[in-house]
Amino acid sequence: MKSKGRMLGAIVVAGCLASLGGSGPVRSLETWASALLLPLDGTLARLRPAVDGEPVDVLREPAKRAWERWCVAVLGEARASAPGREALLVPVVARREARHELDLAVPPGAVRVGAVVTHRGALLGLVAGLSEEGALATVALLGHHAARPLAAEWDLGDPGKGVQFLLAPGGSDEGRWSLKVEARSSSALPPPDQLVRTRDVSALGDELPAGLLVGRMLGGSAEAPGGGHWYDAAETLRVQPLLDGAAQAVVTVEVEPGAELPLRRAETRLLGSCRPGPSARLAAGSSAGLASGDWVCQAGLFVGRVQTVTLLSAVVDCRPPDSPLLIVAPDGTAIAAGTARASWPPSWEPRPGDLVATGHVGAGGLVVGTVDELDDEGFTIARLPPDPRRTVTVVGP
Amino acid sequence: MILLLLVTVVLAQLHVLGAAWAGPLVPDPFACVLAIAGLHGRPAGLLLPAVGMGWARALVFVEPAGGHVLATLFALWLVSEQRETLDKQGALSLLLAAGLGACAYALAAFVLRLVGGEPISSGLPLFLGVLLAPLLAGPVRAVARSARRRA
Repeated sequence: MKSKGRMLGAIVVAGCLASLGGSGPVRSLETWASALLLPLDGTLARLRPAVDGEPVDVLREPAKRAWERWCVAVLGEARASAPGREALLVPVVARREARHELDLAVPPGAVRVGAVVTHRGALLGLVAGLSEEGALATVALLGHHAARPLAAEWDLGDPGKGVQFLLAPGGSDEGRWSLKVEARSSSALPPPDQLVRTRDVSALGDELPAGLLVGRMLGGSAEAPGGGHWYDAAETLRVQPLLDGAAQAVVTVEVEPGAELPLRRAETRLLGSCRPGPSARLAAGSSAGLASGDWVCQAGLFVGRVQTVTLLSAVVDCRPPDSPLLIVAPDGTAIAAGTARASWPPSWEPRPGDLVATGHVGAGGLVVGTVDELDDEGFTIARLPPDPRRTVTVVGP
Repeated sequence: MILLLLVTVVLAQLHVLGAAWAGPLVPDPFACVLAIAGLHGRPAGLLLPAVGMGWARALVFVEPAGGHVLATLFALWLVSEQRETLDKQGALSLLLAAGLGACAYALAAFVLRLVGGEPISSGLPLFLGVLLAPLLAGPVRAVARSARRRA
């Protein structure tokens, strides 16, 4: 009897430590008991004081406009698809930084292996694999060994008079992925930080769109360690991708013309008897079609992202997303930046009261809150609370 | 365990409703539940009550249950160890037990937060809830007396 008690105690303590450690199955098991909250929840939610909806009403339209402009910027000015295909905005649903890969939700059957993935006119990588139903595309980011060589050039001045070469996967050096420069048309060294773009090689049967930014040229120093000189200084050239693909939340992918991303939508409500804070509970789960990673919004307000799902309930992470986060000034100008000062553009600073918006491919522009306080680290966001008496919409790919 | 789980769920939900109306300093009655369960339970039989109470609190506060269960277990054990010292019947003993429970809970929550990095709510409302203990002493005594009579 005593040994049974000890065993039970050991199991409980192990379960508690696993819960503290963030074990997914244990967190999911904990959430199953959410049904116990339901008998009183409806009544208590109705008894709560009303949430003033006016701030969201005022900020909804500016957030929507900022998101639409940002979507246009993500599509980029340069053509991001081969002739006969088009670029479509899709969400990133998973990141594997160690493998240098992304998973995208894509229209089933509309994407092929090798499709170009871009963000604001910069090439991020190429589709390296598709799921069985074709609804999930795995992207090998630039530098990944599975990515094929790319035809590229750096401009000498006039367009079409650049130095041409091939970019092959260069692997990772201390977490910094790069591309190797091969088969150069000239051994001339580029100026420092020269930008590299893809070039048109359609005559050779490669439909890679021309003019996409790939990255910056690094290295190329004529001096070798020890004071000597490289026989060919251009051998040391590397191209560093311009954007960190793993930090993007929305990208473009090359698809069949007219293809659209199928979206799941569900209406449910927040449990109003739970304490408002960095997490919340939803009164619906996987039986209503919810999945981990779905976005939760309420009439233009960002509520959070679904973190843990069980059959009848779900836990929502209400912290603002890292990306995309748009800071909108009263004159309507929007800057994509994080809350940390390091992510801000040079000589730019938000002002207290500026709108903080975000967006989702399926939900459009959403209000997160306003800029609250600025300090040496960055800024904090004054969140606008959701109204637990109103329904929320859950959107997912 | 189930009774404690349900009582904790309902009291925590009422506390959240009170905080929504009157601000975050509304007393949290959890310390009183800790005191009652600790004073009337044997140290060897506290595991299941701790699971029920900790889990219930985690459900309402939307936090990982592991930290709440361990903090509750430590607080219940500490109160239960002192039940011979504290007179089970008096309002003062319930107040002292609730204070001890709140301190133990807050200490355990602080340590577990350092270890696990996950939030475990144990702020000022928990300590303000200790002040509710004298009000509950009468009803608790009456329930204990009727339970004894029935037994």
